[in-house]
Parts: sequence; C-alpha cells; structure tokens
Amino acid sequence: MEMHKQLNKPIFVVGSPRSGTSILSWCLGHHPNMFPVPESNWMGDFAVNLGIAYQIGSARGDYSILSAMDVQDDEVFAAFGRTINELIMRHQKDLEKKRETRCVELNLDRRWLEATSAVSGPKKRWVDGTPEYSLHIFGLRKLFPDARFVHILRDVRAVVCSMLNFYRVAGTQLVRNEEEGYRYWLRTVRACVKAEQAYGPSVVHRIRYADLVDTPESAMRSLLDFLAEPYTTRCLRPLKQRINSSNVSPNFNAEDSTTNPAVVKEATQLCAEIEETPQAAKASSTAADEMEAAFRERVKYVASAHKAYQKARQIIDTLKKSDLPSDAAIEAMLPIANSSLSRKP
Amino acid sequence: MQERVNKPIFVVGSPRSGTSILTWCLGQHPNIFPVNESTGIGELALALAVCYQTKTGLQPDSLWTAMNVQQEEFFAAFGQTINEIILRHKVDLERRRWEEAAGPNAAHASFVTEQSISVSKTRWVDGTPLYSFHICGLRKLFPDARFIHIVRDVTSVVRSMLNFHRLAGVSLVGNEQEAYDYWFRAVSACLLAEQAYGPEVMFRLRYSELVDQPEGSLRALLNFLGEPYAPECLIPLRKRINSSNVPANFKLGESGTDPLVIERATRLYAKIETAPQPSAISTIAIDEIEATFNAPINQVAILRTEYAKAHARAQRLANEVQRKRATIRALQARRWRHKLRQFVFGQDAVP
Repeated sequence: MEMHKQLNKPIFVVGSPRSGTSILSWCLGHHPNMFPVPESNWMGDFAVNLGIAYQIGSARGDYSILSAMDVQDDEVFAAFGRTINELIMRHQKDLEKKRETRCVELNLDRRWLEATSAVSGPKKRWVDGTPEYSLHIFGLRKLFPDARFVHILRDVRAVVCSMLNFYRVAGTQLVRNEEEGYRYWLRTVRACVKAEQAYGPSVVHRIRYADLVDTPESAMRSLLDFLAEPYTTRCLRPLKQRINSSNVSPNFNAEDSTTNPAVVKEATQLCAEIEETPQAAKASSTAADEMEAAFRERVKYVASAHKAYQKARQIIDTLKKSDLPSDAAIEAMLPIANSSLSRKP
Repeated sequence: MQERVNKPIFVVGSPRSGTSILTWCLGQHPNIFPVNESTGIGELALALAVCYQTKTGLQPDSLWTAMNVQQEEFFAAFGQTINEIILRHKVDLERRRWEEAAGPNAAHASFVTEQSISVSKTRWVDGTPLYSFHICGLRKLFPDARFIHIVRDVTSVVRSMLNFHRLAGVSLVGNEQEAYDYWFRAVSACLLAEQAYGPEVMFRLRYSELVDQPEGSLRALLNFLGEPYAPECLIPLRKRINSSNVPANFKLGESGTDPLVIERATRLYAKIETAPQPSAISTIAIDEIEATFNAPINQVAILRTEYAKAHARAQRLANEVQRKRATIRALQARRWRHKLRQFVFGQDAVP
C-alpha cells in the first residue's frame, strides 16, 4: 500500500545505563540518514498495553472484531509501530526547533545541533537510546519488525561506579547503592544477551564500549555496516568532545560493605564471560520463544496488576482492622519494649 | 498520506436495547459494513492516553512534548491506524460471513460479493454496548465518528438481561438489581455524551420507534449519518427483533432488590420519555465527560507506584505484627524466668 512506503527502520541503542547508550545515540545521530530522538521509555509499556487490548479484542472468538477479521496480532502491532514512526518523522522539524531554543536547558551540546538536524541530510531513520528498552526488545520488535538493536557493553565495575556517581550530573539517583547497581547491570545485560541469541547478528549488534573508545573508527565502521548505512567520519565527532558524562572521580572507592558479594561475583563473571565469547552467530528459536513467553507473561501480569493492587489494599485494611495498635503507638512502644528486653534481669 | 474515509458509526446504549439488530440494519446499507462487537478499542484509547500523558507530563524533553505532538493528533493518528486495519480486513470478515451464510440462506449469499464490498463500502458500524462508557475516548481516536444512542424502556431491558443466558449460555448480570444498575449507568453515560457533543454527533433513537415505525426512524437515522436512505436496512427487522426469548410467564420482582435502584432507573426512563434530546452542546457536560475519561488514566498511571506503596505498607504492617509477637513472647519468657528465680532463691533475690 502506498501509504506504507515510508521507511520504518528505527535503531535502538540498548544496554545497561551508564554504558555509553546516550553518546552512541548522538554519534549515530550525526549520520546523514539518522536523527536522535529523546529517550522515550514509552514504547515498551505501549507494546504491553497493545497486547492487552488485542487480547480483549479477540477474547470472544468469532464474535469479536479482531478474530472475525483474521487480524493477526503481528499486523496490529506493526500497524501501530508504523503510526509511531509516522508521527516521529512528521515532527522531526519540531524537535529540532525545540532543541535549538532550549539546548542550554536540556543540557545539549550546541555544536551537535546542526549535525543532527535535517540540514545535514534527509534523515530517514531515528535513533533512540533508552537503556530501559533492553528489557523490552521483544515488544519493540513487534512494533517495528525492521528495527535494529545496538547492544553496547561496558565493564560492570566501570558501570556501577558511574551509576553511583550519576546524581552529580543529573541530580537524580539512578541506584541507591552498589548492589542495586550490579543488579541493574545484570538485568539489562542479560536481557540484551538473550536478544542477541534470539534474533542473531542481523538484528542485534554487540559493540564494546572499550572498542568505541580505543578504536572508534573500526567500531563505527562495523556498526554502520550492520545498519546498512555508508560510513562517515561525522559519526565520530561526539566521541572527541566528551564521553562518559558521569565524571567518576579517580579516587572513588566502589567497595561497599553491605553489598552482597555473590551478586558482585555473578556480575563480574558474566561480564568476563561475555568479554571472552563473541556474539552468537546464529539466531536461536529457543531463545526467541523464551522472549515471547516472557512478553506474554508480562501482558498477563499487567492485565492482572489492577487486581493485585486491590488485594494489597485489602490486606492493609484487614491489618488495620485487626487489634494492632496504630503505627505511631508501635513506634512509641518499641523502644520501651526493647530496652526492657535488653536490661539484664 | 492517502486519506481514507474515517467516519465510523458506534451504536451505544444499554445491552439488550437493540444495539445488535440496529448494527445489522445499518450494515445492510451500501456504504456501511458491520463489524461485530470490537470491545478492545475503548481499552486501547485508555492505554494510549496513559502512554501519552505519563511520558509527557513528567519531563519537558520527553518524546511527544519535545516533538510537539499534540494530544489530538496523537489519538487521531492511532484511530486512523485502527480504521485502516478494519477497512483492510473487511473482505475477510465478509468472506467468513458469506461462507457461513451461503448454505441455508441463499438470499444472504447473493447480498454481497467480495468485489462490491471492498470497492463500495467506506464506513463501518460497531455495536458494542460497553462503548457507552468510552464515547469520549472513541471520539479522540475517531474525531468524525457518529454515535447512535438506542434507548429502550428499562423494564423490558431488565427482563431481557435476566433471560440472556438462555440464548448466549452466559449471564449478563447476576440479579435484578445489577440489571437495573447496568441500564442506569450505560444510559446515564450516553445521556452525558448527548449533552457534551450535541445532536451533530449523537443521535438518540427509541427502540419502540424502531419497532413501530421502522422506515421513518431509519430515514431519520441515515439522514443524521449523511447517508442516502436504503430500504435494505429494514431487512433484519423483518426477521427478528429481541433475541433473548423472555418466557411469557417471566415476572420481575426478585426479593432483595434495592427499591431505590429500581426507582432511580425508572425515574430516569420517565425523564427520557418526556424530554427530547438536548439541541445544544453543554460545556459543563464536556468538562464532565473529559474528567470521567481522565480519571482512570490517572489511576492507571499511579497504579504502579500506588501498588508498590500499598505492598510495602502491607509488608511493614506484617513485620510489625511479627515484631509485636516476638516482644510479647520475650516478655512472657522474662516473666517466667522471674517467677523461677523467685521460686529458687526466694523473695529477697529480686530487688
């Protein structure tokens, strides 16, 4: 159909937060055929919600519109993905205008604005660098069957350091403590590795952060090759200006005594393992099935979240109604009880 | 982008008010094809609203804010997508119906050919009664949609609802009170939409008129839809109306029904009988219907954090219970030790 001629091959840069997802998105955004969009962190949930709506719409078998019309869920997802793509492409100019006027406020490098705008080429693809999308690759692929994913991998210790220092730049905390940092890294990287296995190197491309820093040109060449875009040195420009925005102080001590050593061990082991073994060369249908099952599970979970919420409220109400004293009374009572307990008889 | 006709028709009202038969009637029109109850679209509008609002309300540089995508455009774009999917698949839908109907009913089989529907029919009609509660969201998705509010007297509806299981095998409502309440809620939602959007968008049709003067009411209805009159639309009315088969001896008056619920519904019906549909748009009603649409969005948006909070609080209270039990046990143990010491060393041993 003529209306669907518009190119719909977005690029998602995934991986753990503080692994270089933002800088790599900006690098790719310097390419004449790609422009960077702000982190959206929206489409993963959207895919899940669409899954729920589809379920409702096809729950009644032939009586419901979707089943009666032989509309497969892949088609519904892809149609909505196209709509998102069209909205984004249609509003590219607005995004540039806004960036122009608010670049100080948004903490954008003014030098990058021209390179990432339509002036530098008829950009037909967009790049999104939302790290959370590591956990939503399945849903994103349903929305955008031709999307490409770049998995940027950085050493877990460096990532955790950077996470803990993040609030210095952003003012908000990414993780509360070291252990959370390790866990966050594990969760996102595991999801990305699973996607590498599930979809193979034609859909997911792994790039090492170290390679991007040490041998930027060859790293970028193979990345652009994967994206089927011609190589241009422009994509290296942001790397020269700055990389790693969290400013880890050299004497920062990453050791935290409350951190569970098992988690650290697990993460460092996985990190070493991934460093040693190259990306899987073939797509595995087992891994793909696993990812699909996880998505269906998520749809079910979100659909039932409301019920779970009601249940939690009920628990609170029953607990309140039981003969428990009020919170304040408990708080006041506890020290008394504790001191009387600790006193030697 | 190629612009397609995107003016769907939604038949709303309480269930068992004739929404299905009217959908079929309109579906006989040369420009309208019927889709069965679609149901999911209302939820989808809500899901879209959640996604749009939660990610724009928070940060100034979030995707849709940064890209200056306004809410109207956002919703309409997805409505267009739904419209396209439905139009693209109408051939499948008709083919399936054609195959099902071809055997016993030859007249039905000759009523359409794939060619004729795929070329000529440009609008679809949906008869999901549940959409009575989603009119605001549907209008966001389909700004040019038209709504027909079919209203039937509450007593007949309640009787029909209570006998629905005979036909469908599943119950629509648990008891009489629920039936009255369902009618009241659905009709109230439709009346609010009538006030909010006016007679250009909403058309009220009495079920009794459809039965007594089918031609006159369909003429008025098609006029409202901007479609020429087509006598084919009357065909389904000749065959059957009211599919719930209420037995002649079926009587209402279940014990335990709250008389206030009945009164509230019958009073509303009496009001509808006497007063015609409002001819002007009320801004108060618009605000109200928007607020009703937004309420669950905010609820869904905060659901996750609220759930986490509620869960944490439940956990904390459970921990308090445990702590308190432990304290009591410890104090009891201490009391026993105290008594034991008194027993062994005598009264003097304890200060």
